[in-house]
Amino acid sequence: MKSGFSLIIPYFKRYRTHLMIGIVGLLAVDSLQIFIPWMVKNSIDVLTENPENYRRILRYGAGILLLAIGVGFSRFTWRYFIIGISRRIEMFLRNALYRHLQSLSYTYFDHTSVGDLMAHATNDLEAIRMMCGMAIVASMDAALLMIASLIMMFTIDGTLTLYVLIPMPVITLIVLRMGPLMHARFLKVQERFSTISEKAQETFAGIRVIKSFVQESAESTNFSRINQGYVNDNMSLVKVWGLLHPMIWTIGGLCGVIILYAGGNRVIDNRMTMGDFVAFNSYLGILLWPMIAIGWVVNLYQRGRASLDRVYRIFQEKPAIENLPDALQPTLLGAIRFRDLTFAYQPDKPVLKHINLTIRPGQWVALMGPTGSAKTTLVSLVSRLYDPPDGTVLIDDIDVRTIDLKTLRSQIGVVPQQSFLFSDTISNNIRFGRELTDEQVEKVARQAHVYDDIAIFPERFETLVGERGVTLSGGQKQRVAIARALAAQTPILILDDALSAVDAETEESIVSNVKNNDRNQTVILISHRVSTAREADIIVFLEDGEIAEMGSHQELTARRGRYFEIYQHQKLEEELDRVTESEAVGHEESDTHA
Amino acid sequence: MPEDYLAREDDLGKIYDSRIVRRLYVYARPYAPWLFLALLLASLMSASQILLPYLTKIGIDSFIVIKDKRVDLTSFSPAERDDFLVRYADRHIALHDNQVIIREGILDPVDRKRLFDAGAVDTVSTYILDLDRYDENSREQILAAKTAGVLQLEPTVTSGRFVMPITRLDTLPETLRSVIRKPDRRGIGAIALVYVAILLLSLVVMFGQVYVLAWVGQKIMYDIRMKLFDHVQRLHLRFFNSQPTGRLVTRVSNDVNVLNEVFTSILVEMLKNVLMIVGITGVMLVLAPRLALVTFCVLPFMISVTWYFKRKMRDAYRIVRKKIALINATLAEHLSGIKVIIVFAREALHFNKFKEINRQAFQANMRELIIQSSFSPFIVFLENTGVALILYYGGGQVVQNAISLGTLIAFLNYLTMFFGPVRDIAEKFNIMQAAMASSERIFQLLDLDPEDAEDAGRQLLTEGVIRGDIEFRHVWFAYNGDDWVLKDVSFTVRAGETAAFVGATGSGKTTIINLLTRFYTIQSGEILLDGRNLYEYDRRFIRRNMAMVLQDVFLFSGDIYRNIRLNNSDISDEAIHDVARFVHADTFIERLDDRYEHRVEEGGATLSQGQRQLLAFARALAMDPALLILDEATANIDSETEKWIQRGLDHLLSHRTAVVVAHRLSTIKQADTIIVLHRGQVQEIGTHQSLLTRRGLYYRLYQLQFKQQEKLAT
Repeated sequence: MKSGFSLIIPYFKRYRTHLMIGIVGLLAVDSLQIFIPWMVKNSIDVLTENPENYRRILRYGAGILLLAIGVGFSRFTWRYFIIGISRRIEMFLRNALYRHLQSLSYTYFDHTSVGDLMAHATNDLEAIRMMCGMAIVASMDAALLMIASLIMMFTIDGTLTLYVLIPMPVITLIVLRMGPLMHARFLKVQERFSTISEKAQETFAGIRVIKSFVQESAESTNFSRINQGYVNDNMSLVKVWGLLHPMIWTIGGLCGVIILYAGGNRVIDNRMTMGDFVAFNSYLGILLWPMIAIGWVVNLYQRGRASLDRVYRIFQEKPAIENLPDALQPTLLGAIRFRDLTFAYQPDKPVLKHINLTIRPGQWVALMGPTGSAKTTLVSLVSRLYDPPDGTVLIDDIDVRTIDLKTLRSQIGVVPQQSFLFSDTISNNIRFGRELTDEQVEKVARQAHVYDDIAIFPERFETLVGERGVTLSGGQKQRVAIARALAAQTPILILDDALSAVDAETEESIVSNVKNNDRNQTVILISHRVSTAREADIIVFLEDGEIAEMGSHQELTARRGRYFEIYQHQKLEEELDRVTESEAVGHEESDTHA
Repeated sequence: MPEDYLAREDDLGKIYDSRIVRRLYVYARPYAPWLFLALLLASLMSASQILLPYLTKIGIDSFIVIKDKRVDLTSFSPAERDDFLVRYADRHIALHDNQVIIREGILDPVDRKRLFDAGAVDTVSTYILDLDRYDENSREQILAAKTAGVLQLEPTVTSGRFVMPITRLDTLPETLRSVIRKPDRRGIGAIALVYVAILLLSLVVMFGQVYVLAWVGQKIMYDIRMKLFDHVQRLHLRFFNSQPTGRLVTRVSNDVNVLNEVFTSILVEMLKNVLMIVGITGVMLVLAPRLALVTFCVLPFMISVTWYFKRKMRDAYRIVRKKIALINATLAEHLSGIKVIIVFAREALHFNKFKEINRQAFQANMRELIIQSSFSPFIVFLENTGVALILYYGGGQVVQNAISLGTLIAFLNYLTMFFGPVRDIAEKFNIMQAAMASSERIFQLLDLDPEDAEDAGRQLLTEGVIRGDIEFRHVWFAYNGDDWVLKDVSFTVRAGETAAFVGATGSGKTTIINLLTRFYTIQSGEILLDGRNLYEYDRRFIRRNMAMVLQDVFLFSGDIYRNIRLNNSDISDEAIHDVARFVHADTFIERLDDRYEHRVEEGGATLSQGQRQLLAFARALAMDPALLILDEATANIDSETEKWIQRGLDHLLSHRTAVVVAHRLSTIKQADTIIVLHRGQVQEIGTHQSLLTRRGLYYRLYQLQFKQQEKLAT
């Protein structure tokens, strides 16, 4: 039976030496610890039975100190080794999880939120760690201590031990019953806390609207409801949590009373020495811990088990796109062909229908079409982010499915719709792991029209971007992303609506820079702007996953179809802005001349 | 001001700041009686915890271990003797005038010391048998044994009370001995009952304390959080532009939670710990001063070791936390950017980065583990050193009769109780430091002026009817310094008319909107609304009378209803259906799952730009404002949606004053006044027709469009 445990068992095997040392340490702690009360007992007995020999206590005292040193040393040993294993497991599992996630398909991330994955990588791994470390240690420790202290107690007085044992399981029951209840309520508190954060986030992000529509007081009322809910949830948690500790303490106290009464009677009847009485109390203290621990361990185990299953399920997720057994590693020229391509994410719901398109190396193709016409899907298939049907997408007449993934993707430069940059320096973002000279980085930055923007930062290309560094504007991000793609010097370049936040003039300039570079790249460009698309060798107009119109700018405008309609419309808007600008400048100049 | 506020973000300041504590006290004051109750319960808790080992001591000394001693009271003055006899009246037996037999364990430490020091206590132990303390049956058994000669008892001056050497007790048959010790058993029983009563009482007290304290903490937290939320909402818009939203959210969420600790875990728990330490120390000193002093020898080591390790642990933990935060940040980033990583086949590169961070976190964790694990051996050793000291030194004192056995055992119990609070206090200092830092950040935020602070002390217009006449007279405005965004801008919009602003990005169109809504205040010139200075109106009154539609439509999480009516519950569902129909938003709403109850997530990612714009129109119309302010969307919207938007817009603009930052020629054409802006200055003003005849900038613009159309026609 395969289960989540198959994820962690190998680590225990790998660190079996650590585990053994840890267990020996644990054994040592528990067996040494149990003799300390015994020494106390002997000392007391000396005092009551033959006080004239009281100097013997010195020996017992020394014994106690030696035992304490042993206990301390062994405790360090097991903690270091066993908890250390659990920390290692957490680290390795996190690495493995990360690795695995990377191998998963694009589709997986379309359906899974980053927040959920984060929760798996943090909370679930932590629960697994607790299960591998504390739960194992605590259960062994509890078992050992229970056995050892029970042996000692029975040695002293069997009947009294039985009496004391009566209330003990109640503690375990309480922890078992209240533990999950507490956990559930704790989760609720946490959930409510995130609601508070979300509400604050929403309000502060939308503050303009709130102020404009004078909703401040109303939003405060909304917030107060959540805030009050948080108070209530907390109080309901306190009802359980605030009772748990006092109850355990009280029951422990009740066991103490039993010893005081029954044990006291035994001493009175000479059936027990005073030392036994004291030792019994100490053993009770030792025995209390396993009782609490059992309940605790069960909870830890259940939580860890659930987390392990969740993580295991992710590991079970098979990478949708894998290399074929003998994948090819060609050097690509950049001829792309779609051959009667029909593609569907879900069966029977094709998003691309019968696409036939041949692109020669070095050719420019502009993809246009309304939102939802599957433009992005089409270009994604070139990088094999999704698997197209056999023989429908070919590069240099090789089916993309037969090409080694890394070989394929490292020869395609992509600027995605959402230009994502990493919180790193600009130059590292452009390099993206490639060996490039500073000059090369600067060159592509110039081509992408972002050099001037970067040059004004005090640290220029070494400027950190993202939360810890400067916040780039949407247009700047897009242009850095373009520089990143250009830096790859790939035979194929895909620009997926990559210039939407850049003004038309700059866009045209970037496009001509890319066009006139010495690399003769095949370029697929998704754009809403006719001004950019019109220069392309082929303009493809997609509609509902089908090629509605295809041809050069001249051909398509002559056709007076959808492309023409859009062209007409955009031309107007653009000119409006452009004329306002130039005219106004003209005015200003004539003003100063006057 | 915001810059200051930013700079101090990551400071971890002092442990105690009286200024902050004083300000915090303001929030605690309403709950002072409850806090006091919590304190009282906490003290009661400590007292009962200290009492329990003492009860055991009494049980041992009075009933379990019998050392009844013949005591010579000759060293006492007659008055002292009488006093002594009265104090122990119940348990002593007078033999002669100056000799009593008394159970040694019940002597209080002062008497004990005095008597033992005077050598007035007999070394041989006896057992007192008081017939009054037995029931009928037992008494008969004892007397029968006495007459049978099995039990030899020496009479005393008090009738019914006898004594015998303790050694004789052990030679008696078990049943008889058991009968004789019956009163001791009863005594233990009574003590056990008291013990149980205290336990049950403490259960209630403990829970009560936790509950009351949690309640007070939650209440205070609620108040501070409300106040903070309300305050932040009323801050100037400028502030929000300079602050990452996340930081403000942290203030309201996490920082308030940390602050809660000041009241709960610090104030009360700290006091409880101090009470415990003082209480235990006191009891130990009273019971056996010398033994107490000897035991306390462990303390300096204990405190310094605890202190040292807690500091080390705190530092180590801080690194751990940083590393974990780094893991989370890296993970979040890599997962968000995973498509880029995949598309560029950079998996290995990022994996190695992540692995390195993960490894660093592991190392930090291991370091913390080592420090943490080294702490416990020291504590174990020191605790047991204490035990050994008590046993050896205390044992000696027991043998010398300086203390009772029960006292020694109580000491062993107190020793274990002593260390908990010491460790706890060391821990609390960390929390305290964090809480102070959080409080400081919260107060810094609360100290910022709200946006209407500038109106303080001025009589503002808060009600009436706004018709919508707008006039700008020589308005100059800059967001910062001398960076003039508007330069000497003048124009008039009459009530009920539509004014369209045309101009390039950065020409100052949006700024005019910001001024009209009183988000910002002009530096010079005058803005008149219905002939009165804009700044004589309360800003909320103005805003209530105008509705804004911004380019970037902000949607709230909630359904469509919520997003249209916001919080105005007096707008009925029917009214919402009407406005949605009016601006042509109904077509797409009807197609959504759950229609008007369709849930929109924050930011409205599930809706298209055009749909969001239509919702914003509906929202504005639902408010039925006298004045409409509109920043037209320029983003790429497909032509179908654009058609819908245009139709929605037409309805929205009719019959009300409207100020539109216009991008669509159709809107511009229909406007009553067109104001052409460039670089903060008004270039041209007029109607579509008048501007055309003027043959200026606007004319050229229009002509271009016309030419374009002509060219396309051929």
